[in-house]
Amino acid sequence: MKFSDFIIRGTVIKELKNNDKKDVIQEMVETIKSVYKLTTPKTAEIVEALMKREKIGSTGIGHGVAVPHAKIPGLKTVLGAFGRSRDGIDFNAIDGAPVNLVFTILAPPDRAEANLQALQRVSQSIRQANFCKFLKEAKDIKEIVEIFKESDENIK
Amino acid sequence: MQLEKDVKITNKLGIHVRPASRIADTANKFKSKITFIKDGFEVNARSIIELLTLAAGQNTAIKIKSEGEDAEAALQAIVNLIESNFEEKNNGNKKRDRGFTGD
Repeated sequence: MKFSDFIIRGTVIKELKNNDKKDVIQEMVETIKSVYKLTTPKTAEIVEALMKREKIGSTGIGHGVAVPHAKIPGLKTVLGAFGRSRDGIDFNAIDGAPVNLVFTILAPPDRAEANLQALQRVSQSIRQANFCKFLKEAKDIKEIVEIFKESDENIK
Repeated sequence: MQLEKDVKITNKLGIHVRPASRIADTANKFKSKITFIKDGFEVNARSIIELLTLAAGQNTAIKIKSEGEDAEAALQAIVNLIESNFEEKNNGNKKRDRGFTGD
C-alpha cells in the first residue's frame, strides 16, 4: 500500500490546531469526514473508537510518530490523515517523547490486511533516515505531499 | 547459543501495533538477539517499527532466530506469546457491539 492510497492532499494538516491527544484525534477525524463527505458514523463515535484503542496501549511508536487507528463500520477503503504538531503532543508514546507527526488510519472492519499494510507503509518510511526530519521541516502541504510521493517511489 | 523456530501467526489481526509492542517488550527482557524473518526479510524483534514493516497477517509464516546466552528462554517466551494469540480476547469469534473496534 502506498501513502497515496490513504492520504491525499486534502487530509494533510500542515499545523494541527490542538495539542491535546483527544482534540488532535478529533481534528483529524473531522478533516477526514469533511474531505470524504462522510455522514456516518458520527465524529464522536469514530473518536471514541480511536481513543478506546489508545487506552489499550499508545500508538505512539517512537521517532515522534503516532498512528492512531481503528476499524470503522461502513468504510470500503482505508482513509487516513496526516497532521503535524510543532510543539509536540503528549501521546504516552513508547519512548516517552512528544509526538510531532500523526498518521490517523481508519480501516474497514473486515480488512485486517489493509490496516496492516497502512501501518507497514508508515513504519517502513519512518525508519528511513531523514523521512521524519523532512516531514517536520517541510514548508507547506505541497512539500509534505511531495515527501510522501517520493517515499512511495522509493519503497516498493 | 543460536536457535531457530518456524511459527505461524495465528491471531486474526496479525502483527499490528499491539502484538508488535508485546513482542518488542518480551524481546527486550532477554539478552539474546531475536530476529523475525519473513520471506527472507529480517527485522529486529526489539523494535515495534521494524516488526510493523513485516505486515504479517494471519497465517503468515515467520522464522524466529534467537542468539545469545538466554536464547532458549527468549525463543520460548516469544513463541508462547504468538501461540497465545497475544492474549487477544476477541479474535473475531464473538460479536462485537456496534462493530467499532480499535485494534
